[in-house]
Amino acid sequence: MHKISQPVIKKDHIEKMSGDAKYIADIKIDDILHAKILRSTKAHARIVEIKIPKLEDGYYIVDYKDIPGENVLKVVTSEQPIFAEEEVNFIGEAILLVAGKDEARVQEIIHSIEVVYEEEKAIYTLEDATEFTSEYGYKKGEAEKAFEHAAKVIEETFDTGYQEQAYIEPQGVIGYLQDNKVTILGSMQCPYYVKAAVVQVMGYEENQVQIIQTTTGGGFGGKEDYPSMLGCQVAIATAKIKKPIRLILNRREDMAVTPKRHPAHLVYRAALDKENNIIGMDVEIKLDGGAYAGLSSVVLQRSLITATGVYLIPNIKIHGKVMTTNTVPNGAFRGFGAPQSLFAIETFMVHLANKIGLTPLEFKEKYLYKQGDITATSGKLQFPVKLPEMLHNIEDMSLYKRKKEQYTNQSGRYRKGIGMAFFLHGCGFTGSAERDLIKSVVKLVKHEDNTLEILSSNTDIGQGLKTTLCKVVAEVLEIPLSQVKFINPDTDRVPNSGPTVASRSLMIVGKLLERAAKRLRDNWILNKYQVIEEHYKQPYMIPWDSNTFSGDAYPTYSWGINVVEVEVDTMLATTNLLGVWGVYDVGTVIDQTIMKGQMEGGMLQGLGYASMEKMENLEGVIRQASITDYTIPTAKDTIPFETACIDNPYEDGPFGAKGAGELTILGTAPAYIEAVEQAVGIGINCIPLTPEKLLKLEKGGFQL
Amino acid sequence: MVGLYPKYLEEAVEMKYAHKEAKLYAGGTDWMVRHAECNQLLFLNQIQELKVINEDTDNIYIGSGCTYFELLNNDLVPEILKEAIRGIAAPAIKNIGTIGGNICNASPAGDTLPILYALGAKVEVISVDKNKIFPIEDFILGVRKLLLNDTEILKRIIIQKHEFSNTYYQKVGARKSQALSKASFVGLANIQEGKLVDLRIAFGSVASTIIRVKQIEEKYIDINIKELPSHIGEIKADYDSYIIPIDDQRSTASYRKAVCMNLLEDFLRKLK
Ligand SMILES: Cc1cc2nc3c(=O)[nH]c(=O)nc-3n(C[C@H](O)[C@H](O)[C@H](O)COP(=O)(O)OP(=O)(O)OC[C@H]3O[C@@H](n4cnc5c(N)ncnc54)[C@H](O)[C@@H]3O)c2cc1C
Repeated sequence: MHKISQPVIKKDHIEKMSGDAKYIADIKIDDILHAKILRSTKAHARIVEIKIPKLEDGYYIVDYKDIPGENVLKVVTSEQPIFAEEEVNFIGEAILLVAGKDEARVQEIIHSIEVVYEEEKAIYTLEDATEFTSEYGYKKGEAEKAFEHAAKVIEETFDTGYQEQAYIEPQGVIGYLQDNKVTILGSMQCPYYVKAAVVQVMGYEENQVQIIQTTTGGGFGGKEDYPSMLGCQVAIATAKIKKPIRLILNRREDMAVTPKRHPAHLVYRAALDKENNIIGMDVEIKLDGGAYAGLSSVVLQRSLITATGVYLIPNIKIHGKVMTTNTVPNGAFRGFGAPQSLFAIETFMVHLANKIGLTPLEFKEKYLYKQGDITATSGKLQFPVKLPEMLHNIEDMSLYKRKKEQYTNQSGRYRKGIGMAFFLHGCGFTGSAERDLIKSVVKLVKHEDNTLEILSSNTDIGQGLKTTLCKVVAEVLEIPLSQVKFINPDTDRVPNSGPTVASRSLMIVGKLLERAAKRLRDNWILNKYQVIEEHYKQPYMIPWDSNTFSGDAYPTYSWGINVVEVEVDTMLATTNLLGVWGVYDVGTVIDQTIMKGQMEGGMLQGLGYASMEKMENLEGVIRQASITDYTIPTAKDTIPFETACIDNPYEDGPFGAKGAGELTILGTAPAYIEAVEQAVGIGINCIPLTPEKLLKLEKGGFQL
Repeated sequence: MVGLYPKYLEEAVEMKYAHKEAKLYAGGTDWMVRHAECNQLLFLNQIQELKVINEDTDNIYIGSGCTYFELLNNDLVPEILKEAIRGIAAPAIKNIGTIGGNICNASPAGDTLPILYALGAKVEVISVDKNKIFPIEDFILGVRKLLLNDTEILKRIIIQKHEFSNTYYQKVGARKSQALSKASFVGLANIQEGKLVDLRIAFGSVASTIIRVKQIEEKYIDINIKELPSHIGEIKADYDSYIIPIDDQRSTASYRKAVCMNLLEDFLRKLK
């Protein structure tokens, strides 16, 4: 074990455990006004008229007419209005904001406003969607030829559902004005994203907008783009009303209107030769983007790049689109497009193996990536790929092979099954985006008392970043961890080190800090204020061409294998977990306890995605918009997981660390489905696999 | 919002009489979720008389204000009721949620209800001038509808002492804790000298109230237990028109119906 891997008490442990941490809703400001949003109740309509009752003093309406800059939300591009003007495109779209002293009164005013709509035809499902906001495709080898020469072509379709981030703290921000400058505090992942959005909407100079992250109760991707929306709404309101304003979503509102994981429809075709080897694969992916593009194009890129999983397939053709529907826009969620593809490719490989008459593992092993292999996007796996060692470990832990043989031909009420999934996750932004778009900068400050402070815009959203970044610095300088501090970023104090997304923060920003710490070590002047600044430098990569999707899609990859063992109660079509195992390669583990948190949390979140986390949209309305109805697994639904990390240091990560946050969610869903399939003996091509769906697949009942 | 905090039942009914619009608040675990605002709350949780569990030769009496943990820790409470309680919510709710609240919330997904229906429980309702006792199925009229006027309070639940040779309970929820029932089933039976002498079956979450059909139960009384398997198809058919679940955000009608029938069959097959 590396010394740095030894667990420590998290930097924010005491503050959080004692209840001292101030989340956005805990912040009290005198004379603050409460704001609520009037939202569209129609999926697609023109706004004919808005009837607003006469308001008493101290209550205000804010709408698009109050926007000094541009009425669009800046995400990747800008398309969604902050407040609707003439038309609405999904149920929940913001129309206007009401603010005032008394929260209940504000709510009453919202209810008393009448919007007259002229409804237009709305599209609710991927099936019906025809318009799209992005489309990409790429090829390797000669897929067409492979299909022409194939002895057999096997095609399957897969469907995956929404997934809601279900962070504990709902989204919210506070805004106030000070000398011609707007300050936004809030629960968020990416302060500089919020800043860019507010600057655009307000038409302000950069120095007129300040964003401060407050202690954030979970994000999972859900607080990547939406805080920009709230930040803009409050900035507009506070600039108009000239009073501090607080806009905090309640749980139902948060679940109904904030972005979720994209539902997907995936079509996989494999060309097999006479010996049943895969000679080609053709994949077509459609994501339901909802009403506005938002982050969807980037999500689709990752779905496509990950479409063939960890397998070396000689000839491939991959293509996909983000379809537009009149539903809540989807966005970022841990895994970012990869969970959909990995569910599909892993399940497809199992089904192919079954058809050919090999065990899933025998079949998959023939195609596993090795160091030096050419990736799907014609990049090269430069670094050691330790899948064989990981497979050996997980086999020892789970006894997968023996159980796979044992659980055949079962009958009776309870039936067992086991599944294994392989996966990888590209660390950081796609292609050269780190170099060309993000351009991370960090500062390491040494105060006169020789304590250090990290200045970075990355956020601790519960994943432990405060601790791991401080550990990197303390370890380089060989000083106690308590001597390094990292407080919630404030854009007036910290440089833009990029967003907290894409499993990049520790690997990319941590590396910059490692370099800064080394420079400081070499130039350490006792009792003197020193500032070291570091800028991102791209490590060697085969250049990425974003038109052809060719080259190294990511600087490196993290890897994982999961095994899930279940018992299905065929009378109720419910499942019990019997065993869950995970072996991961995240380079060097920077803190074992934090990594364990990532592994166990990610694996359980993946199991929820596969089994019980059902979210439906019924004519544009999210039906499960509460924690009662949208069921995520509880402590009672889980069992102790067994996890391990292998050591595989990566030269361009701090102390060898690679990305770890998203990787952990990717494998349990396909492993779970393989396990259930084995138990019940039927093919399953969709998640979440609720008991309702399983019973339906079995045409109403199992033969007990 | 004004709060009323009686310490004695007598005081509580007087207050209720004087403040008819006041809403009753026991553990508040349903109340807090549903009513965000109201002008007056009458808090029942300090009244010791509502927490009493006692017995006489024929009956067990359970105070409406008993929390789930209080019920689980009491030896008089029938085991089958405890089994259902173990499946309710999670520890935090079990610490403050009450059986009276579960009954008065009058939801077909209330998990103590199928058990109370099957046990033939009665409720005792109290007001300034009257005590009334009636069967639970007459008290609960529909979803959130009770035979209870604005001067009355549910005092206690009365359960006749009864031994069953066979008991069977299953809750079907979306997860193993903190889940409202998609469907639930209870079957109680008494078999003496090879004959079925008592049969009680109730279903939760499959109609607007709990389903217990006494005519069907009576039809099979006195039947020889060895003949029962040949009647299973018929019994399922008997219940068919009563099990009329809906599709909603939690489950589907066809799933609910299928598991109810599976559970009914499983219960019947296990009777020996
Ligand atoms: C997270 C969560 C999980 C839950 N899980 C379950 C579950 O698994 N199964 C289940 O069945 N329920 C569940 N519930 C619902 C709830 O906890 C139970 O119904 C509980 O028994 C309600 O009791 P209470 O004392 O909290 O009722 P309260 O909320 O205080 O009252 C409920 C209703 O009954 C009325 N009332 C209360 N006492 C009396 C009385 N003595 N006389 C007349 N009227 C009265 C109140 O006015 C109110 O209308 C859950 C609730 C939550 C919040």
